[in-house]
Amino acid sequence: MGEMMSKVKVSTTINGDPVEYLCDAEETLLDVLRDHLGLTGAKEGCGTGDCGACSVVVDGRVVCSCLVLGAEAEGRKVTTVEGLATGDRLHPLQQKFLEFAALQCGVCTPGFLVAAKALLDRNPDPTETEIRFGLAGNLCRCTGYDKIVRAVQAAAAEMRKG
Amino acid sequence: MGRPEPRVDGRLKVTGNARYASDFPVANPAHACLVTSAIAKGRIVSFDLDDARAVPGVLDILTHETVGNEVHEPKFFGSGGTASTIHRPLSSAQISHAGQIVAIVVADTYEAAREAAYRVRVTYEEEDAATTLDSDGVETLPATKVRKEHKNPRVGDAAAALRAAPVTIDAVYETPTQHHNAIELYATTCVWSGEQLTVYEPSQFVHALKHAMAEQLGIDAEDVRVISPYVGGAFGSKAAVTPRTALVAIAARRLNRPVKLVATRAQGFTIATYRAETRHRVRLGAQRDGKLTAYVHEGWEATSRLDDYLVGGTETTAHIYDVPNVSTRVNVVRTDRATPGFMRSPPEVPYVFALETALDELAEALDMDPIELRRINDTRNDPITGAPYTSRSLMACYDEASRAFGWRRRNLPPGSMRDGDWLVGWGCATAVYPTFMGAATARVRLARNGATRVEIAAHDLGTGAYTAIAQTAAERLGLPVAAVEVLLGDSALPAAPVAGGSNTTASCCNVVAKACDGIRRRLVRAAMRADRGPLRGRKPSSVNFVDRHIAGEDGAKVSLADAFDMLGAPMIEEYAHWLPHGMEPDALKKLHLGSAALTGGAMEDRIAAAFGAELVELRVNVYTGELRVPRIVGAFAAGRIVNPRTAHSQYVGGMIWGIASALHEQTELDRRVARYVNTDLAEYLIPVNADVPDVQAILVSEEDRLVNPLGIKGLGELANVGTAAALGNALYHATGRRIRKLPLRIEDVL
Amino acid sequence: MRYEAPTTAKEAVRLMAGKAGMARVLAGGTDLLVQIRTDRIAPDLIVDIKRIAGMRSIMTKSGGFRIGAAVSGAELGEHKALRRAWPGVVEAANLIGSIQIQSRATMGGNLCNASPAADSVPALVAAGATAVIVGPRGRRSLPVEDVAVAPGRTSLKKGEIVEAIVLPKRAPRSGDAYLRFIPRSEMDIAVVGAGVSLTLDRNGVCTAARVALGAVAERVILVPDAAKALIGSTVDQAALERLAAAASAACRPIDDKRGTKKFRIKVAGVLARRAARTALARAQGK
Repeated sequence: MGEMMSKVKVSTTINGDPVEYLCDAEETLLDVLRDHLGLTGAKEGCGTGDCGACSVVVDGRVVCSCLVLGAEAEGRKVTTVEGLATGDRLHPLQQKFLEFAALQCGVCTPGFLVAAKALLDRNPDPTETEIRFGLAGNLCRCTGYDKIVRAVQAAAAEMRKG
Repeated sequence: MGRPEPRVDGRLKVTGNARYASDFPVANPAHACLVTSAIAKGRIVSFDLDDARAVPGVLDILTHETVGNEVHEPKFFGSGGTASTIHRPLSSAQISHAGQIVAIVVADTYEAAREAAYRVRVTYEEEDAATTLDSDGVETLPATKVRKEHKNPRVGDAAAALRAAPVTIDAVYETPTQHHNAIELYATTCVWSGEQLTVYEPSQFVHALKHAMAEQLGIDAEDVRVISPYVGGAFGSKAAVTPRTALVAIAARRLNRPVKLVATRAQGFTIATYRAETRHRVRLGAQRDGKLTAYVHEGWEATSRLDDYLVGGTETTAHIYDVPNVSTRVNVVRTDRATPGFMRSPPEVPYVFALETALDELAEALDMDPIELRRINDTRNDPITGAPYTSRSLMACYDEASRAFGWRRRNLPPGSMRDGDWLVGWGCATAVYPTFMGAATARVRLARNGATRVEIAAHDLGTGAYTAIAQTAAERLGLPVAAVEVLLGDSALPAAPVAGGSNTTASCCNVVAKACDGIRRRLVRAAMRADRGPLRGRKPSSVNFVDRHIAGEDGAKVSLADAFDMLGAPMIEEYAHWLPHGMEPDALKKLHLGSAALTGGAMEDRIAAAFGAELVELRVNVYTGELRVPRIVGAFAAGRIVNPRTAHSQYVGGMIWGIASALHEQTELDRRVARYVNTDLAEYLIPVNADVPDVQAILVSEEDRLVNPLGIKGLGELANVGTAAALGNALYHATGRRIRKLPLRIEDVL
Repeated sequence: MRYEAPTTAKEAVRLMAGKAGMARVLAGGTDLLVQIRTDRIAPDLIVDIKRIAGMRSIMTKSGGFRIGAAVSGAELGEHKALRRAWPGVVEAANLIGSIQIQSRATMGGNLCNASPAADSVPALVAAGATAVIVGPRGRRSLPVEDVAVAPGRTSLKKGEIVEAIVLPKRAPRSGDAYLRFIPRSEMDIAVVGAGVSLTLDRNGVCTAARVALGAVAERVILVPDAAKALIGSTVDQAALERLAAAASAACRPIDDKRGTKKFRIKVAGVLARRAARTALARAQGK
């Protein structure tokens, strides 16, 4: 009790850029992104892995960054919503979310986009059911689920065309 | 207006660049963590803070011993004030509900604050708490006694009509406690700069929050600024000012350093408001042909000891159908809980569930199609006052919804439709939401090149306010939507009403249109007076603003740039205010002081409401009792639709809310200790992607020339009304079992 | 709190057995980090086992499989041979939470979290899996049903870590399945879970079976009477009815908000019967 919290030094890659940071052992990757690195696209909606608003991709797999320690990112590759667009050019998923009205309050949107990207990276041609189950870890309280599914389908079709 | 424009704020949201309250960077923030009460009633005997203070990085711990009288008594929003409760946070040892804030710990890092909060030891003296409607120790009072402006709508002699009716229904209905659970958590960041306070907090009413902070902290309102450009869902939870904000401001003032609080999901269940449980006794009397002769509705609603929160939904239900004899009564039941508050369609969700279920029971007793029963009792006038509806399209909604649903193929007797292991039921119910409007102000600036800026302290909760307002200004000024920049969610902007009662689009689009009309008048006058101008001498009413030009009916036109040159100014700025019909003239003054006063619904000379019809299919597994909802069709009429795309999203989202409300959502209470049990998103079940059925929303066209100049009715709180009744009615149709208590549970069916 | 990420099991055991107050293993973290964030536990040391090669791999071993304790649900789902041999175990593990949770959650963690409603455990128990436990006194094996003893409590001693889970060699004409009942379509905790594994002879007669139930007692239970109902039968309707009755009879559930006793008892029978049908179809190669 009251023991000094030990800081952990971490070298990692975020959205393609090498990043180094010092974090507390119990600090989550989400807090590191938001509080230390200024990447506030990932949102905290629950802290318990139930809402998916904090989704990021670590080494090719989508995770809830609230359930990953900042220390665990050592040597990994992390992608956040800020890494989806290329300069001014939106990722097809971002473009289709706009076109299909797949967002309302927008606070779940970054998590959905990241999870959808991870889904399409593994499965470029998912069925509607695969999309619905694949995104079941992302909650939208405005409940715009249907439009999100349509947007992901449209983005997948566009990405397959290349 | 009327076009399905994409959201103007969409790009910021898909790139992660829209800044919500907790996203704003502030210099060197300290982090706060709350400690909340483990008991529901009693007092704090002592704190042991030694372990907590020993955590490295802890800067300050505020308790009632340090804060005391620092927060002035807030004024309850239910009595015209701004606050969710009159409770003065950290003012005394008294505990009035479980999860009440008892301390706030501030540290250099969030982790240190959380760790120290965990180590705060509180010793309580606990008293027995009254948990819910029928617990020992509650106090039940008629609404008319606790709220002098409350009226129980009544007309005719309902008791006599009920006695005389050949067919009657008499049943009790119950709805549960529910929490908003917007995905964005309750966050507050306070930054002092000398005497000036900036508050970053998701808000449905920035002007109220500004004045609340001035009142509660005893400072000048002009020294407070509230910034809340994006709100990550609210559904009513971010309208009234909760106790946390003043505490964060005080913590920041004591440290002379910005303080940032993000309350946990679990704390959100007790530090803000919720939808309280209700009970209803509904009695209906009807003739054999289905004509209603009597409607008697008594409601009981849970509230806290400190504040008499009241939804009084009979003020909606008494006006829906043509009934000559109506008697209603509402009671509040004071419990040892936090004060409830607005949650999406606060009065309508519980009260319409009761009425629309009772109507289905009546249809069953009459052996009549339930839609037919509603048709027989449709009306053009308020049955209580006789005043006309400004417009009403309930039966048109039923017609369009039943066509899309295939309602004609419904077998009347319950239990008569089966598909393999599944019993199939079809049910319907009416959706209704009164049209509210508030006094509003706005500033619009148009530059010679067409660049337009609209400033209004309205709020976009995901509803699409940015886009609707941009569309309004664009249409009035003959510009593309992209030329219009809209600034919202900042108390430094001209005041606009609370984002509540679904009034934002009506109130804000009307005032923005009025400001644009001021700009138009000045440009038109210049164009008509200009020598040699193509519009010289025309009547102002004969021109319009189209495609960056002022155009006459015959094709003669002047470009905006030329009109500006004729005027001799590089830009025009217009400030406007708008008062809806039925609003007292002092409403503007009140608005500037943060009052949430709205007008609308059943007024003396007219009644305004949006209507809808919802038809659902529900399936019950004969072996496990599993309930599934494969499809729902809703048809809605809400006057002029500014943006069919965002309106459609609201309707679909509303119906899914309604399904969740009927099947899943219930905050469970441990009755022995008046504490909530399921305070996370694993246990409080909101729908997931895979749950969502085939949802069809139909926009029924409706023109209303009376309700307000633009003919707009609110619709954000329309589609989640009635859904639960439609599902319960479908469950009855599937199984012959009538469930009168929400949520509908598998156990009730087996 | 201290964070360590050792690269050998030996080092992990040394850290776990060290003097430092409360130590916890971090595999997927999907339960552990929630418990820390919600102040249910406050460990002084966290030992991340994901950098230990032997705990990150799936190996075939004497015809069976040795699954490292830090292998995620997603990785299990992508292992074709494992999915072919033990589809019930893999589908159970893949039911734990969302894709995000699947990226992290492990069967080792599911087992050691000791929840009676853990999805992968009834399937593992039905499969006759064993847990390889490494500790200060070396390695030992334990049937998985003996790892959890009560909600949140395991039989592991200080310093011990579940290193791997071993699934036995599959006899020909065998099949397994796991089913659960939840109120929502996904992302939910089992109200009841049922795992069944069975083997047929050439004539289609059941020669071996194991049936396990979750969320109906203080821990996952093996139900020998339900297995007996199948053995010697062709898993016909009568045998399935006896199985369902035995499964219901074995339940000693609690009432809670997710389900009543009565409901759990009834559904346990229904689910066991359905799981047995699926296991049968798989054993028959359908």
